[in-house]
Amino acid sequence: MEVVSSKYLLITIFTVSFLFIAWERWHRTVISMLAAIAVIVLGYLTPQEAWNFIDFNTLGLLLGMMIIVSFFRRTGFFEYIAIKAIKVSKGDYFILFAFFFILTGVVSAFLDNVTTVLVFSPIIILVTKMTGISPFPYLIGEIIASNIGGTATLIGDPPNIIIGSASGLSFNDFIANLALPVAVIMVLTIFFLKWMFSKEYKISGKFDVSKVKIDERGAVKNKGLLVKTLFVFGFVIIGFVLHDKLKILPSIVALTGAVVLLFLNNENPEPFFHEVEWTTLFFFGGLFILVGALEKFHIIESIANFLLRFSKGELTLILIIGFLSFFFTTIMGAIPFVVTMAPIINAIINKMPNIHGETLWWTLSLTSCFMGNATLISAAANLVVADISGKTEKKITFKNYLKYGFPASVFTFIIAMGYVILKYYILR
Amino acid sequence: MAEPLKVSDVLSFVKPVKLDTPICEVAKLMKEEFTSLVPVVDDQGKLLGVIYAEDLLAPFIPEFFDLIKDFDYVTTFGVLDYEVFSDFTYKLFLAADVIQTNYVVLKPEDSILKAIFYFTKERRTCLAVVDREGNYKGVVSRLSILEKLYGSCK
Repeated sequence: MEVVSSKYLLITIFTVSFLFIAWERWHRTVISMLAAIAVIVLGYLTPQEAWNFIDFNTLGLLLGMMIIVSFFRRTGFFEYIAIKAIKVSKGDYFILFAFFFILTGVVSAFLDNVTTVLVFSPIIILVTKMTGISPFPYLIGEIIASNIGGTATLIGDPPNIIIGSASGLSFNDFIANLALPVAVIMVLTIFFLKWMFSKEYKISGKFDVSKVKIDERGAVKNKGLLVKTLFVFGFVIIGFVLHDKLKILPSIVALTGAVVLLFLNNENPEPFFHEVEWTTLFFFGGLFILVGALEKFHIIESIANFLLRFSKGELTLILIIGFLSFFFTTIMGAIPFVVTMAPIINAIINKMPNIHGETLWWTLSLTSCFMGNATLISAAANLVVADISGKTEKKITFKNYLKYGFPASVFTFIIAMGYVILKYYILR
Repeated sequence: MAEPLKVSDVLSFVKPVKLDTPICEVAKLMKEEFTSLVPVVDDQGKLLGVIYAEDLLAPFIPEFFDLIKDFDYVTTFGVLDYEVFSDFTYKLFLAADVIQTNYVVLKPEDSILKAIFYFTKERRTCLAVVDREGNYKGVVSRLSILEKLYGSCK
């Protein structure tokens, strides 16, 4: 096969795969794996090359954290803190909304978004029904909070894990640059959503707390396991903070924590392995191979050159990355977009040594994570909550979510772009 | 050696209902006949389905309860307690609304060993009995088998 026609076929495989991922007619993992197999079978990559393109740091980090989360789920810890919401709210609907929003955001910053919403959604529905209000706005709030909160750390959102691995930015770099703006944006979004929901739904006013007899201590199932899990998790967080200084990959930190917990638990590890989201890991694996083929045939470099042709400097690059995020994350989700953009940004940074590479990474992180709120299909956690909402009187649909999710994502996107331009371009 | 016990040896007759029977009558029948199963038949006496006591309780349970493993931390459900019981207008429901059509049946000539197996596997206390043509014949309960097996104990 001539290289030119080969490249066009490869671009076609890439484009068609991403269209099928956006279409959702087939499971995205199957499409990703099919595309990966296609590039190997067609000779674009040897099996060894394909293997080398897989980012095992990302996969290892995801795997380790998934196992740690499965320990937390067995303890009732999440239910404990979620049930505390009623007492903390002191009978105020808005405080209840804000508490759930912040709780979801904070937990999402350290544990994966899908697990966070899987655990909190049923409790949110229970608590809102117990107080006599519709859970709909609270569930929408939960979706939005999980995507915003997850942006704060290296481990909070899969796009950040990919960015961290591709850029070499550390856990502390993410905290130092993103934690504060994310916290501020979360607070602003609470009030934005309050305004949006106020006409149709009840998220202000008082309810009679005395009618709800609930004791959060009953939620903790296994105190011994909870102590062990919190203890090990504490060390895992310390490991993330120090990983850069100790020259240990974040994946090794997470996997060490997971293995130590399995060892301390001293039971058959199979149930924990069953709870690992293997479809997510294989989805990533397939994407890494597909994008790796684009890298090998310099298509990534060509895209980088194309973008640089339009850029008049760092500011236009920030805007280009931001708007590409806006568009592509909305239609296909952040993960496929970020897996593709990561090597493009590396290529741009290599071609423009005077550029502040970090600026481009923070732009990508904030915009891709926040635009995960745009539609129901923009992030995995969104669909999980929508599915759960089917058991209430008002199911979250693509249409009724769009009414609130898209404006919220645009709101946070504008603030994020403003922050990046102000901090990393104007005030640098 | 004594003849092995068959379902026909422990059969009892529970008055069947029709599809348009209100469920409050079904509940009344369960209470009067001391049974947790009421058969639903057509005009010819053919078994169309069964109603278990749990089927009469299920409408009270909110759908989202499926998502929650347990309620160890809950004593009362606040507004939900009032909502679930006050909104439930049982007079609106008929047998057709709660009937189970996926169920195990036995035949009168079946061994009670088969009945015991299905009691355990299906986690039921009663099973419906039909003839080869599917006509309702009666009900066999765990209690009736226990009485037969342990009846001679003093």
